[in-house]
Amino acid sequence: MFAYLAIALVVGVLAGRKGKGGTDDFVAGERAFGPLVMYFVVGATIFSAYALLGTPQRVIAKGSDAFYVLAFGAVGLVPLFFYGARVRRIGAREGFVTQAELFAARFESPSVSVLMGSATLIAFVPYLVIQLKGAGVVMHAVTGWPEQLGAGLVYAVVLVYVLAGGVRGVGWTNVIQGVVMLIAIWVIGLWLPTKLYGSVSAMFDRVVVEHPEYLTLPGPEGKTPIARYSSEILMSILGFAMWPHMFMKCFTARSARLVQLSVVFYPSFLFFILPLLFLGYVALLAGGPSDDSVLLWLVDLVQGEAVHPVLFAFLAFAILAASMSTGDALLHAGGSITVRDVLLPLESRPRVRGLLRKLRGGEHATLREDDRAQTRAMRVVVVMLALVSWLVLGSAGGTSVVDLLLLAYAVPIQFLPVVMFGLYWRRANGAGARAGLIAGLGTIFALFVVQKTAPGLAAVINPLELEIGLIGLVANVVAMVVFSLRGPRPSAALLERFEL
Amino acid sequence: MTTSRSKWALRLSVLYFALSAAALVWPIYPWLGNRIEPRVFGLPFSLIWVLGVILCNFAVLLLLYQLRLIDADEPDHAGPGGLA
Repeated sequence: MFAYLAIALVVGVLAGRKGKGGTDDFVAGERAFGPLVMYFVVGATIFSAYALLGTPQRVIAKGSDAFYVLAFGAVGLVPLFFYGARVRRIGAREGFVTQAELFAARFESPSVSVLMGSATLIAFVPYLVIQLKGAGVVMHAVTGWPEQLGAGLVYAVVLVYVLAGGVRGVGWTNVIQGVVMLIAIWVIGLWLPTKLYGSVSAMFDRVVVEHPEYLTLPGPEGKTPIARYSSEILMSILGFAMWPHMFMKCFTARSARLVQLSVVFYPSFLFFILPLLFLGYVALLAGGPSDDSVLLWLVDLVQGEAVHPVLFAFLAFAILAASMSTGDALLHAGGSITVRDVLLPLESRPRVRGLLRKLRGGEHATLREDDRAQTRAMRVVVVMLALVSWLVLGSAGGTSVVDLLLLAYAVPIQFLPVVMFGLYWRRANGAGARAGLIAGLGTIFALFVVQKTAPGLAAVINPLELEIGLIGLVANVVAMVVFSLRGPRPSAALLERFEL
Repeated sequence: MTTSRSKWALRLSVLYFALSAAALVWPIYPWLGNRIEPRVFGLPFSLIWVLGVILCNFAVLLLLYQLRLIDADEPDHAGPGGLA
């Protein structure tokens, strides 16, 4: 276990030493990721500790509702195939490294970037907390330490290689983590059903006889009505490619074709969900617990066998790899986004400039002019982000994090109009983008607060219990279209820069 | 780039992916996919249906990529910095 952490550390730091060290390199790796690294960067950052621990758990709790991950993954990344090549090209030509930067330029509006950047940060924290929790669960099982201590140790390692290596560190460690995870999950997912029930097929024979309701919707006790399942899938499909850390992958690829290629091969990562589903059904037949310890509980089914310690180690590696590969990408993206999308645009205001100067202790060049200082600021933010998430993990326990995740998943879908209209609608302009973002984000935050503080009122406003992200999206699109049409037409020169 | 061939490919492929998304949700999924029988390789049909959609999407994406139909009028491996 500790050897594994050490290897991740060394590779991450070594990879980082190859670059020239400017901000462009820290954030976008000088746009030089080859096919292998791109493949694992795209795949591994998606398959988080949440997918790993949550998928078998979901089978036990809700039956075939767990196929949800496969269903939205089948289409979720496809939009990237269509706009990814163009985004890669524009990014390289104009020197963009974040999603918000591109759209701030397209809409000639720094506030677009500040809005997108701050909303992203709010969405990242609960997402990170879940990853830390995954690491904590494993370390607790292995060493007996409290979750927060274990998570702290693992993320100290992650911090070191993210800080030292920037996006290169993230890239090469993701390759190792991806390979570990794929092998471990397939081996355990096939071996365990075979060992216990004879074969995967024989296991499903038993599920059909004993628990047929777990194989189709609406699932046990009708927990997942088809309408609810459908709305969740549509939400996830629309929001998936909008996550800023996903979008930023376009900028790190060596070529535009490569962005498309990684979308083509992405489904091979989905097949890795399959053994997790098998494991879920194994646990169902064997009467496993329905919380996030189920995966480790499964391994203990074969306690006493010679392979038990090997299996356990494999699984612990896989969960750790999943947690780290998602966590490092989030931390890295969070640092880049805070500095480039929020601090730099705000720096142009005198009051903020004064404050930043004070924080940095005395007279300096502005961040915009000082590339080294930008990279330093990103590192500070990365550490702070990790620290905040770690503290939330300690103080909040489980339930409020799940609440926050609801809000987190409603955020990226609010970027959909900005991205789609920005790339494909010549008439879309800054007034529209600002209005859309404010309307969309405002709606979801307001609805979230109402839901938490006054559930009765929320039921009146939202009787069908629609996803809050979806309601925000409607407000967002309407506002963006209306204000774009009322505002000025973007200049031809601007449109040409964005290949419109 | 805006030849009529690639324009049609774009329209058709967007239509295809919209349909494939529709196949995974109401009303197509409960109508066709959401059942246990027939089992394929021992897996329930509800799962096979979703896996089938993934395979089809993979095939279509691979075709679009190989034929360079979507926004791909550039070299396979530009150097660092791309077109700059």
